[in-house]
Amino acid sequence: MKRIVLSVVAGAVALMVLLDFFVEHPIVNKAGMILTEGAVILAAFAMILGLVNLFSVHTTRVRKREKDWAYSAILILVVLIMLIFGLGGPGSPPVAWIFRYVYSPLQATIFSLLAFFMVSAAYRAFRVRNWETALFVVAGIIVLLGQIPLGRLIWEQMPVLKDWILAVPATAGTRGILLGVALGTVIAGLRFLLFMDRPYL
Amino acid sequence: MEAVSRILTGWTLASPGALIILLVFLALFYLFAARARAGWVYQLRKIGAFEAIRQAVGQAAEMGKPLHMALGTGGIGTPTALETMAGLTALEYLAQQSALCRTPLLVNVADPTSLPAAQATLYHAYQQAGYPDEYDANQVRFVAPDPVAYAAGVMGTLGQENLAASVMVGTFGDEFLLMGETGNRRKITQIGGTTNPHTLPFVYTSVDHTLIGEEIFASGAYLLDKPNHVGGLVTQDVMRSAIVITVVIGVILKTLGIL
Repeated sequence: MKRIVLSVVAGAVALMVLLDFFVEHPIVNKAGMILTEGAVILAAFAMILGLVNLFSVHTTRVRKREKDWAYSAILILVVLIMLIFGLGGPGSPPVAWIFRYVYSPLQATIFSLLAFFMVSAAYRAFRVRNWETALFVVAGIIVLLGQIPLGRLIWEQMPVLKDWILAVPATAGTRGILLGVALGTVIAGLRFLLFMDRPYL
Repeated sequence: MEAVSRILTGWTLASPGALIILLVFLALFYLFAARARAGWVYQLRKIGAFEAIRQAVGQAAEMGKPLHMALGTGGIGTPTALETMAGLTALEYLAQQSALCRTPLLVNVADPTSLPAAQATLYHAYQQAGYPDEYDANQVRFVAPDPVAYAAGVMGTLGQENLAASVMVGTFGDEFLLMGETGNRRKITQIGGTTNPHTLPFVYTSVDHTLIGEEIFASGAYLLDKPNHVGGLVTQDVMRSAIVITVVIGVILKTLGIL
């Protein structure tokens, strides 16, 4: 019964938001706006759930002395520090300082690993195993050479070929993927709208 | 009376073209879903990644190692909600199988709205398998809403836990490579899928099996054999064929100078 009620409520809300997209009517548009804003507010409240889950997972790890439990202890400590300083507002000087001198450098450090990971991924990808990977390798090498002066030295038309690969086959492939994604999205949306699929209820 | 007249007047259709396309979709979807429910058999082309997910579950059960699922950085109330829902459908299969085989399943989410959805999916799976007491809410872990912080958290899980396999389906950006490469170095069987064409090269190069674009929406048909999902796939194929024919006709007419 609970599942049916929740499905009906979710379906009615989805239908109203969809109606807001297709119809110009003051009452429908107002209702659509209220529902959309409501979703944003609900999402903000969901952050509390996330915080509770974070504490629950990591206090359990510390209590049971699981592997690398010390990291969990540090995480709980840092979250508590941020919560205390955060009471002064997201723009308060301590929070701004932490974001500027702790969070942003850490973020940049982790993201900089991407360059090294990209090299190791490219090394694996550039091994010819079948005709698909052969195409991948050839296209990759042409694009790579087309980006650097050496490519022009090898063959003057290399940058032109690179531009053609990016503008024609690559764009065609991307559009094919996007078209498929759009069709898949519409069908998935209809499934949820018609109560045919609600795995989480 | 005045309120009723206010409701009844002033209706204008904003995008009639889009509405017509949606209604065509709806009619076809109803038809093919009803046929699939009635027992019509549609031949689905083989997708290696779904086979790999089935095998990964079996391997995890044999090895007694946990499975991992990453739902990506999307949430339920975001524009990428349907990608997250696609991840939740894959999670439904993993949860059912892990509940039946008593294999631990760890789930990492980035958006707090995905957290209760993933927990509910897991709870239902354990309930259906007859082991509701085995469900642990902490199997689903909220990491962080920031993509880089999320990637760092997932990298931690991939590095610390002795995993058998990792399935990453949902919304991902460049940070996917950080997670994919970590799993690769740990020799974990990985299946990844997303709809973002800019992320797909990272997925393709770092995991063992890739779900490309729309394939992530096919989890329900391939893994759970849901008739409505199979009907949806047939509708997609019919609409795709219609679009391709329209494009070809358009190209011919343009070439001939008629358009």
